[in-house]
Formats: sequence, C-alpha cells, structure tokens
Amino acid sequence: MNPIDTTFIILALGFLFKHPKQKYYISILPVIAFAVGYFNANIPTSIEPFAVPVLAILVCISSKELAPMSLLLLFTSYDHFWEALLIPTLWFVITSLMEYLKPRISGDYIPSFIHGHPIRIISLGILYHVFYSLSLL
Amino acid sequence: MKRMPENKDILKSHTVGQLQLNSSYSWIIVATLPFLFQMPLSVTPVWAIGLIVGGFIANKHVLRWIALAWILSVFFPLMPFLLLACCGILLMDWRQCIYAAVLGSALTLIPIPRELKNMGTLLIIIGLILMIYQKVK
Repeated sequence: MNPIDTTFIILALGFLFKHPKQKYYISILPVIAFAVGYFNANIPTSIEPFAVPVLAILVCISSKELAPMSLLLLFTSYDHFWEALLIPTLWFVITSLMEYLKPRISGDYIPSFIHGHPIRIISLGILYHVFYSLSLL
Repeated sequence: MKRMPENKDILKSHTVGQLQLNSSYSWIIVATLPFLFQMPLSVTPVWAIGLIVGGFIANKHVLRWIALAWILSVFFPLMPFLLLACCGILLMDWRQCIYAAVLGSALTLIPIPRELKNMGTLLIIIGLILMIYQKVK
C-alpha cells in the first residue's frame, strides 16, 4: 500500500476519531516507522520480532483513541524517507481542502441522506483521483 | 413542569449520538481494509476468525486486540498483525466483528476488476453504500 492510499484511509477513518493530538501522531509516526524499518537489519535477531509489537503497544498506550490510526501508520511500508514525509504533508493539505469544502457540501440544497459522512467520503474519493493523477506527473 | 435540558445535557447527548452514528458504519470500512491492503487469500480466513474471536474476548480493549493479533501472527506469520489489531479496535461490539469478517471475506473472494481496485473508487463506493444505508435507516 502506498502512502497516498494510507493517507486517504486515515482521512476516511478520521471522521470516526477526531482528536486534538491527531496531527502530531500523523507527523511523527511515519518517520518512526521508517526509522524502525531502516534500522531493522541492525537490531539483534533475538529482539527483532518484538520491535514492532512493542512499538505498537507503546503508541497505543500513549493514545488509545488514536490507536487504529497509529497502527495503520506503523503497518504501511515506507521505501524512501520522502514517503514518510508525504503522509503528513498530504494529510494537512487535504484536511485544509476539506475544511474549505465544508460549507459547500453541507448546504441545505443537498438531500438529507447524503449529508454528513456519505458526502465527505465521496468527496475524499474524488480528491484521491485528483492527487493520485498529480503524483504520476 | 418539564425541566428544560441544560446546555451540558444537550452537549452530552449530542456527543453520545454522534459517537453512535460514527460507530454504526465503521464495520463497512473495516471490511474493505484487507482488500485494500491486498491481504493474501490464504490469510483472509485467519483474519476473519481472529476478528470474530477477538469480538468476544478482546472487545473494546486495545491491548487485548494487539495481544490476540500478535499471538495469531506467531502461528500464521503471513497475517499482518497490525492490520488485525487495527480492524478490531475500530469495531465496537461482537456483532460488528461478525459483519466485518463476513463482508471482508466476501470482498476478497469476489473477483473485482483491477480498475476498481483503488482507494478513490472504493471510497466513492463506500460513500454510496452509506448513502443508501442512511436512507434505509
């Protein structure tokens, strides 16, 4: 799974867990996950199987509300350092875009059954196609 | 004379309602995660059984979910334990675990065209399903 996909899953799940610390976790965790993956070869073989689970436990203890998002960020494979930086950058850009779109997608002219989560998730899907096409340029 | 609800009560009830609304569809998103992360077909039954078992023994306990997923990954090394733990934490009760396990397994078994296997299209489909779900509800 590439970082763009991970970012959009987190954004879709972000409607479920809104937390003030969310932005700090999104900024730091991809870098930690990349560092763990990068230095994995240098970790002694006896403790290697415990590295990721212990990290997952520590992250989940630090914020139980953000545990699903943190686990997804740790699960994603980062091949390059720029991929670890892409997730927070993209998250901040799309969050600002969604805030800008909020008055437009919550107007009275939109039918009530589309209001809220359905229209937000559909908007995210459309934004994914825009950003994915941009990443191929 | 009926007591007028205080602001605090309104705020509290709104928050609870919001949480219930948020959690009512999380199983639909969870069911798409193994498909999105391209989980191998051989591992999907383990993921589904882990989710159902976890629904009964680890329900709502973050660390129990991590422990259960870790134990399962010892016996089935191909199964990504972070993904199972993340899926379990996102679900609220054992019913949602069963729904997600069944839908998730069905999604991995259905031969879906390659063109549809991207996050954007899936988000739009999830949005449409939620729209129908809200209308029927």
